[in-house]
Amino acid sequence: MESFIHSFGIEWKLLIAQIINFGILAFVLFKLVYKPLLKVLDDRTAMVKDAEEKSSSIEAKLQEIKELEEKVLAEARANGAKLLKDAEISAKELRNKLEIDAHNHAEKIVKEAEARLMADQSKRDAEIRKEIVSVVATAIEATVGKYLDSGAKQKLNDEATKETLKVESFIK
Amino acid sequence: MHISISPEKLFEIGGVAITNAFLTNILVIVLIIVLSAIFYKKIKKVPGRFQALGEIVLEQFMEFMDSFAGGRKNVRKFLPLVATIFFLVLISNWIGTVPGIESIGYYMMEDGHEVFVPFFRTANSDLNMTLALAIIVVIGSHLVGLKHLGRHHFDKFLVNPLKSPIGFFVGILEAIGEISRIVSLTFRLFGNIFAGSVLMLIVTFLVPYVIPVPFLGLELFVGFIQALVFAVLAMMFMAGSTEAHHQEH
Repeated sequence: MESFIHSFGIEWKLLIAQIINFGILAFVLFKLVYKPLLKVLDDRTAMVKDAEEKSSSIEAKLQEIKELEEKVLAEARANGAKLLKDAEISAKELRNKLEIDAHNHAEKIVKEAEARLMADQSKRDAEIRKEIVSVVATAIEATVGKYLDSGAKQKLNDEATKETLKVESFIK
Repeated sequence: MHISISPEKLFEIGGVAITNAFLTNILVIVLIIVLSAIFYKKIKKVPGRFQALGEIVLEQFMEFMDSFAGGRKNVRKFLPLVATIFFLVLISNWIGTVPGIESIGYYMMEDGHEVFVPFFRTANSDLNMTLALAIIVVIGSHLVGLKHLGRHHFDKFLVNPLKSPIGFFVGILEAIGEISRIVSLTFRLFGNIFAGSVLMLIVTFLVPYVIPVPFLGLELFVGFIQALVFAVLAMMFMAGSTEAHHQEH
């Protein structure tokens, strides 16, 4: 056995030295490589997991917000439609009211204008009449005034005025 | 051309014969420690290229080991031991292909013959190295078993022959199996790497130019496979020790 071990070059001291060397190497690698590297990998995995969780939470919140948005938009659309309908109704009512008011106002203006016209007409008629009487009186005075006394003149004037008024009413 | 199964002694320190394989092993360990120190300084939350490479290698290694260890929990538990074995064996194997290893040395007289003694020899072509790793794995697996199962870890070896004669013999076979684990782990790695070294030596001796290049590629491949096999077996032994032994009667 000893010669077998010797022929393969096995020496217990070297064997123990190799085991110690391996132990040192394993310790150094554990401290400098495996432990820090595994920590980095674990941290990264945790970070990715955390990010995934946050992402799914954000997605859920986004979904909630979208649903809320849809709901609010639907409500706003409904409210808008209702407002529009109300506004249309109000506008229609207002238009009708305004039309009626305008119509009444126009009628009132027309009536007032007619009344004013009538008044003007009457006033003008009176002025014309007065003018005609004055003209007739002046004409009579000019033509036959020197031949008549004041009583006859007055009578003549009255007759002329009466006749003028007859003509005037006839014209009307 | 001189081929020796045992590594050549270079000098002695405190009564310990320092062989060329041991020297290479020290060189590899120093190299790994220096690289680890550089790596450690570069570890950041946002990884650089060097750290990204390290992360990819470690992730892939753990993913590969998952199926052998029965879950990521076991892989992480045994990672310091198994990954160290893998990287030490891998770099030791690959460093054997570096020009100068096994080719730079001196001549000395041995039994009246002049023999060439290289300063460096592939670490795993020394049985001291492979045997040391095998002992670490097997003893480590038993320590793990003791930690997980307590004294029940030895139930598969120690069976009362009066209660179960078959169990008793199975226990003896299990004990022999533990020794054969050490032997198989030791000689598989040693045999492959030593054979590779001899092959390279012969090919280089016969045709020094161009022809050895494919063999160098083969050596790199074999070096990787052997490191992986050793690490996988180590992981399986470790993970297997955590499971309770069920006796069948």
